[in-house]
Amino acid sequence: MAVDADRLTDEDEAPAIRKPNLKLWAGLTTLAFLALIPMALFYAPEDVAQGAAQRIFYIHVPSAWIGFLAFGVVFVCSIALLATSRRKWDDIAAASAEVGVIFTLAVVLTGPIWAKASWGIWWTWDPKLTAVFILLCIYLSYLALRQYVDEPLRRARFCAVLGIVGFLDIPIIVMAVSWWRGEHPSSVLVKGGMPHKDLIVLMMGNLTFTLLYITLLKTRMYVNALKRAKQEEIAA
Amino acid sequence: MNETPMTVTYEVWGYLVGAALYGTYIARLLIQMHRLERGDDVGPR
Repeated sequence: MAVDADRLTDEDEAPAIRKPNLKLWAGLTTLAFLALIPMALFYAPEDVAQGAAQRIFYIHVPSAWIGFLAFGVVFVCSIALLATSRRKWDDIAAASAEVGVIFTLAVVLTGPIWAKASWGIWWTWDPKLTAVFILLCIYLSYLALRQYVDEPLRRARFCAVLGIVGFLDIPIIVMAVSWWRGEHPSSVLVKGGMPHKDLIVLMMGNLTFTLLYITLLKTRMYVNALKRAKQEEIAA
Repeated sequence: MNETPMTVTYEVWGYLVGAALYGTYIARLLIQMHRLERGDDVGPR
């Protein structure tokens, strides 16, 4: 199919809206959460220094990592959009950005609860916390930008550029403690050496939040497709 | 007899806040989906 340089293009002339198997994905996600929560609250050993509050780690860190994954998907799809102008890349990026914002909000809301227990304060402008706050602001701007540009191709291209630039903040977040120290503990990716049981629960957390991400992404894409079809029907 | 007051510990607050956030988003998505499938709502883009 020839690519029209002035508008977003579809794979087919009139792509059918297919409802994803949400019952399957939601069921798998629910089962994973039913396994994760008792593991995080009872199976994982209590941290000697931080006490039980450290158990927040098992939802805080997977929310952060899967948030990064969501913005990674935005990054890849944004490059593909700029290269091809295909609508599907914009659809995936838009849905993934919104879901990524929810995961990052979870990080920003659960982190201070741990901080209050561990540091005695809810928030500090530590380099890593500041970089996460900036990431959240960038992708909130991305979502706002989608509301303010009407022409689909311009909207898709502007958002693609913001999606690519915003992703550059993620390596800064991962390396922030190594580069600038600060209050936040080192990333377990950088530090390594986690106890075996903690690692099992953390991996279970990553699996669970990956399933949640897939479920939310598929649902959001389906809802967006229904919304666009309805708008096109009204406009016709 | 001294009774220990009921307190919700930090980790429980963490899980409750997470559940409230994700739960609210999921509920909003499902309501939007249901209304669009019925054909009676077009919200903002």
